[in-house]
Amino acid sequence: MQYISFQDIKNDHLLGQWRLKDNSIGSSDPANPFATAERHIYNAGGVFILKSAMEKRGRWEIIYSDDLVKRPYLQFEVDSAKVLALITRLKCTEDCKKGQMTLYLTTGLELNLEKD
Amino acid sequence: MDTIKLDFEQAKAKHLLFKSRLRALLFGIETPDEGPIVSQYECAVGKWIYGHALKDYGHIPEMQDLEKVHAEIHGSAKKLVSLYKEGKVDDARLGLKEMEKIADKLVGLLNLVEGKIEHVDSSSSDSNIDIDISEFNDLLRLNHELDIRLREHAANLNRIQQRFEMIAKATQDAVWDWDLVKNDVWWNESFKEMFGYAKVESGPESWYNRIHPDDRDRVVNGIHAVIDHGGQKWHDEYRFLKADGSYATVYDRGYAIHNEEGKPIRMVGSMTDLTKRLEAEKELAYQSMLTKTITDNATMALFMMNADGYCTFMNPAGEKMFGYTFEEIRQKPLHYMIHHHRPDGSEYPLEECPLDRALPQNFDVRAHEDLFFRKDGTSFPVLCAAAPIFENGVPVSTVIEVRDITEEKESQEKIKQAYEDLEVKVTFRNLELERVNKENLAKIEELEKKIELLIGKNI
Repeated sequence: MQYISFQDIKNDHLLGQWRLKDNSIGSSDPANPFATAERHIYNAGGVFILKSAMEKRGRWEIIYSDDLVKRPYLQFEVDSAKVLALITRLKCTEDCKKGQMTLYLTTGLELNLEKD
Repeated sequence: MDTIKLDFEQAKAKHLLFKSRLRALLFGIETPDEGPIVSQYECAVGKWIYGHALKDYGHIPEMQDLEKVHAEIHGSAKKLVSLYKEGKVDDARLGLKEMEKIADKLVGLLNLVEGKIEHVDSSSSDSNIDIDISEFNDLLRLNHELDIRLREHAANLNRIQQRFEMIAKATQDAVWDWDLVKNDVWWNESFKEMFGYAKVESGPESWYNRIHPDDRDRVVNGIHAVIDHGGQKWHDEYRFLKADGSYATVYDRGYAIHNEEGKPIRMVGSMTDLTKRLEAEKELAYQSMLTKTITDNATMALFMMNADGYCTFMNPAGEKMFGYTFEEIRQKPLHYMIHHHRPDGSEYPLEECPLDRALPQNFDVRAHEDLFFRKDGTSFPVLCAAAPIFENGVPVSTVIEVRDITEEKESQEKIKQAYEDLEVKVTFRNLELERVNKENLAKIEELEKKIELLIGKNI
């Protein structure tokens, strides 16, 4: 598994089912559906599913927009609300079947996800 | 020649012959028949006295004295021969001087009696004269030969004695000479200097009593086993009391001298003080142990590299870090074993390696970061240092310290990433706040416009 350069992050790296390993700043936004979801599913065509006791469906998209941050964002649209998350770390195997990803949400929530 | 004079001259010559043969026996030059030496009746002078002299000249009173002195001479000679045979050679030879004095008295009495006979009766019969010129000539030859050999013997003994004395003075060892017959021990001056004594007794107790009680029986039994069983060489290491009450550890060795009959008569030897050497050895052993403890327990890999670049030492941490045994790593220059490629994957020529340059160019390498390779081909980041080692001002080898900084590098990388992440997160949140702020301002502006419109309508 190797770190993926931020400029090289593509949809293929994210496709699949990610398991929540931990949410280190979860207490700052405990009710956030992203903090409570056990699984994040990134499907082709931009379909996104948050799975926990309940399931929420939405869309996902990679945005390479900001020159100051120089990292790609993930923009989610869930329950008609837009959520922006910064990809702070992404490691993947060559075939993209396994990976580790850290997302930082505007609320201060940090999520560590694992794909295996 | 006057026959009486000739008779007495012959007696003197026979006496001289006796003395010569006795000396020859005591100095080991000849082994003559002992009978004529120890018996007053078997010797030529005795035969002369008891053959006809007492009868012919017995009327001269001094003739009785002469007979007694002659008997005394043989009594003395018998004792000297016994001493010699018992191995007391020096005593026997020393006794010769005393016997010579008695022998001189005999010659004096022969002269006296001869003088009185001539005075009383100068026309005595010549029937008893048994002059033997060949025996006389033999006597002269033997005596001459004996004198030459005695002079040579004395000169030789003198040289040996001088040599012994010079060696005894020159050496720092305590030299000893044990007369086993008299049970007397002589020590050279070094004995006093070595052990701090102002004076030393001459008996063997000067040695025996100073041996450490725990060593004494072993040492004494050992030396007597050699002496009593005809051995020649003895040596032992033991503790010996010094004048200040401390014990020196000495190495003592001796050589036994035997007489012709194989009896030990003397033992000569020397003692070397091993205390300083043993202390130095102890210190050296401690230093070696200390060095080994340090190198064995160091977490850094430590290498010694000779002038040809080959490893001459590697500590256990080195074996663990690189996966090589010492036997394996010394097969090629160290550079080719652990430093053969650069971090970019290109080959690293030995000539360009700063660690290998340290010795020939005589400089220290400090805090050098590099990439080293394990036996299995994997690499890892290291922080290393190299310093040349000098012997008599000449650089002969290089000591190399290597620290595996993989974990440090990872930690540094994590810290760096954490800082970067923090910076990005702050920027990210600021941007978001800015966006929300802009949205709010736009909303406020819109509300204000609406309010103005409402106020305008009402006016």
